Amino acid sequence: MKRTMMSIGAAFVALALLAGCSGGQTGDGKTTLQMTWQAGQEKAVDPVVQAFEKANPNITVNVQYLPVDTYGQVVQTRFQSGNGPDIVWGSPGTGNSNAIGLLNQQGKILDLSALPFASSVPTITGLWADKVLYGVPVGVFPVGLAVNMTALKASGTTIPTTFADLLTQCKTAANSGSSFVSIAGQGSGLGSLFLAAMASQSVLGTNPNWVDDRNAGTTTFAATPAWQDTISQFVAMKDAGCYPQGAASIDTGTQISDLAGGKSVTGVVPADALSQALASAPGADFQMVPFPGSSVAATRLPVSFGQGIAINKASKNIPQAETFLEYLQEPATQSLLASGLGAVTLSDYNAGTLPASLSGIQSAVSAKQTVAYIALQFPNPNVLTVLGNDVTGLLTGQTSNDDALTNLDTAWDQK
Amino acid sequence: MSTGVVPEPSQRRRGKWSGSSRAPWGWAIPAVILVLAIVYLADLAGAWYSLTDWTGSDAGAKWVGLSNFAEIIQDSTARSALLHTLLIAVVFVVVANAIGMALAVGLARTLKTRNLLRSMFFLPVAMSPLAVAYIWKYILQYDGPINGLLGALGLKGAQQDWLGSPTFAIWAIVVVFIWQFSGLTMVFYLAGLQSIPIEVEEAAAVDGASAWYKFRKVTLPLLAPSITISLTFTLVLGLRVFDQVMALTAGGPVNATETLATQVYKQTFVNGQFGYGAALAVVMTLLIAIIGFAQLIVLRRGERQI
Amino acid sequence: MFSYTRRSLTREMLLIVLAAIWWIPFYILAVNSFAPSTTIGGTGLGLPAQPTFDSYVQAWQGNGNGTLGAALINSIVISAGSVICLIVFGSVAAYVLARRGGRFAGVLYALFVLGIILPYQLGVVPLYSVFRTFGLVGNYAGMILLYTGLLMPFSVFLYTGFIRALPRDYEEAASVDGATPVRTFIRIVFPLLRPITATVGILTGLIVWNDFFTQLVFLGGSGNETLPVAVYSAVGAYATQWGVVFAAVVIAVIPILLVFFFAQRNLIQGFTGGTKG
Repeated sequence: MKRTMMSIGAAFVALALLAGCSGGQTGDGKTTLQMTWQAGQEKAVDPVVQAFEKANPNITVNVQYLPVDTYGQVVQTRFQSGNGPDIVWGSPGTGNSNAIGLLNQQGKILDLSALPFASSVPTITGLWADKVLYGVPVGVFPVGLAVNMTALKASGTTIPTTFADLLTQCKTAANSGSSFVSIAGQGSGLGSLFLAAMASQSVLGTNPNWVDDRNAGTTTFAATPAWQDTISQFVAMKDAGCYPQGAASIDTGTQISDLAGGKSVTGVVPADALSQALASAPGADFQMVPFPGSSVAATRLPVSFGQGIAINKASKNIPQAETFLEYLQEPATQSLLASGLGAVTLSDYNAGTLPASLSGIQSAVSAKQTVAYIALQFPNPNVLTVLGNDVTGLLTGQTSNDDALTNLDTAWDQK
Repeated sequence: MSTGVVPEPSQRRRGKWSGSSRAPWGWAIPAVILVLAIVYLADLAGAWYSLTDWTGSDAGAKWVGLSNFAEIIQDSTARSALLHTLLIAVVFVVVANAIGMALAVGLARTLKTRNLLRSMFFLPVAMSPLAVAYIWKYILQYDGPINGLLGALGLKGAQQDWLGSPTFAIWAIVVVFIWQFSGLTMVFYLAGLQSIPIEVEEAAAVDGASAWYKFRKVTLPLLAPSITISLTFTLVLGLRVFDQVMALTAGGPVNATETLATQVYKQTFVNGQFGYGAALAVVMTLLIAIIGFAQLIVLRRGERQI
Repeated sequence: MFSYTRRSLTREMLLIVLAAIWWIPFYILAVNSFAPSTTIGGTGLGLPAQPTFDSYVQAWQGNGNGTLGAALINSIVISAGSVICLIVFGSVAAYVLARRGGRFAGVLYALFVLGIILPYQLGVVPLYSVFRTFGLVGNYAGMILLYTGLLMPFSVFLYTGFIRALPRDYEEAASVDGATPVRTFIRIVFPLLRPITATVGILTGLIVWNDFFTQLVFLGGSGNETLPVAVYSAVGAYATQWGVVFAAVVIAVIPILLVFFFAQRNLIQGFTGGTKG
């Protein structure tokens, strides 16, 4: 009996030892802010953090870069367990699994409406929910057709100005043994972005309030001619041989390398993909132009406020986190971050000044021939997932044009 | 346990070991507490969400009874995920065990290079599933080495978009899985073969028995315990398949390779349906438990009959 | 002494060819890890024209979350710590279950076997909350505790099967000599368990070494990132430097391969007993 008690005691001591050495905290008045950010953007974010720490010696910012595929999962797990980072990166709105709008719906995000810079954040960023500001934008990301100029010459094609022209170029490129339009046919990432960008142009180009109408129940995907057009255009491009072979298994990374290596001539990407991935390819010569609409006059450039950051409501360091967000709003910081990411600052965008790398879309921005990027306004992440499935299904023939739209309606209406 | 090669003399000699008090119950306490806390309590807490409509909100969760489970039965994606999981698991278990057993018989004794060859076949087991998936994704892509080889052999017609095809994608996953884990089943069977006394094999050889006859009548019965453990392990592995699917096809094209584990992940973390995702996880657990135990019982009975 | 016959020679040749085919994926891995980092999208099957160690150098330097060397140390500490705990607590628990027998031991054994199949996805959010409350997130102790708990069923299952097949004669002799249970276990039983200890060590060590998601969640942002986290954090949204990822994968697999090569005899013997469960 005594022996049993002793071994029980020993067991608990062992457990206590196991659990023993937990981390401590320093008490020298310095604050460390935890921030999560998507991996791959280290080169843009690190300089901003360093500059901030220099200006605020009492605050250290510890950035955790998380791989894209698991970003939403890790951040959700941490927030659900009450251990969210002080500052969280994500996409505005509710349409993406990494969206900070979703965290805001769950009540995890701090209301920023009372902060001095709040009024300067426009509603078009998608960071306002019912007059509550829950995040600040990181930059403006035009979504356009990136053209590999070297591959363009090699394939004997020219930059298309209308959709009909695009189909002609596809045939020319296919005859020369390349493909004209790269695609992430596996559906996630740039795959769903492609179809969403096409839809932004045709749907929001004809009815800028389509999302409100859909939310009000006065229209559906299936009943909207512009959505039907989008799907048939996508299929027309497939039939014209625009996409590379084996398109249905291509993921975002492979699409980018197809495009950078000249296997494909063009691709619909956001500006940050152009600057981070394509411009860094050796010998790259890229231009970005608007994806062509049915006519030059009908062409609209989708513009996304695809990234923002927000503060955890349960953070113990809210004042310091607010300091960081305010610092991020300063014009110099905005330029530093935007140039690192390959984005455009809000003020430059409003003034119509684009960097040289984006000269191809300058006229569209100056003439205000732009539309919002529709996917950020989706009510739940499943709509974007279904849109990605549509991309794959239309390529493999698993999904009919009609099903593609009714599936989107079903996803939209889920609670 | 008629096949126990290592005899259990003491047990047979005495009904009850005189020194049974010498293994104090207290020694089991740390392990039991750890398992209860980290496996059972945590899973129970998670399983509770399956009875709620929790979406991750601070507003909390509403009790919805079994309606999540009713929804699973209605959900065609969940049903096809179940079918895919079973298909992958069954084919994987059968083929990986056949290959592993053949390798083990081939590498059991005598060969000079056996240690090196064993290590070579085992290496895939040692790699992270993600690394394995990334390599195979490269091999299976449309202009990858497999289609290149087919083209070089003049079989252009057989070229496929392996991971993008609704027909072939699931088989591609099965192949990758078999490649990764045949080395594990090999180790299980090598262990079984080592317990076969060399005299038994020699006797069979002297008798001039054919190789197949020898395998069927001498080797296979003695391998029975290894078969049980190997089938059980591979079945659990197969029913849990996740990383490879996510990295190779992400469940596509259009759900053609969704499995229960990928659906649990997607419903919970992509769609934010924590309650529904937990219900799916409960279904998956029950499925593994039922199939696993049923198989174990059948095999244990089979062991006695061989 | 074994002498080659024509038949065994053919068998050996066949197996060597098969092993070579089996290793084609590793060949591709190696080729790509030595290819110049400017080659986007892989080099194909041929050897790179100018093999380079650039990817290895870059992989070793790591990314924003820390160097690969530091990650290697973190992985070693966490894997070794978990394996030691699994061996210590698992072997003694299995010893009790195997030697005691009876209904209660049977119930406990069933508890461990069922624990093998429970998917841990179900419990990850509650576990994370509790671990955070006790300050076990982001440090070695928490990770070791977590893995020890998660893999304990596996360890106990393998040990129990092995010990059941082990003759009791030595233990009885020791008890007749008046040795204490602790002494008997340490001096006599544990050395006899060496093969199964190798098995438990290698298999659980592999799982811990390669596990990605748990380490990403539980160690995130702590500066204690492990190898898998360091490797796959390099997989960016648009561009992935596959050369660097593949080089890191090679670095991560070498320690495992070395351990297996030297411990394989024990590993296989361990299963020999283990299959008697």
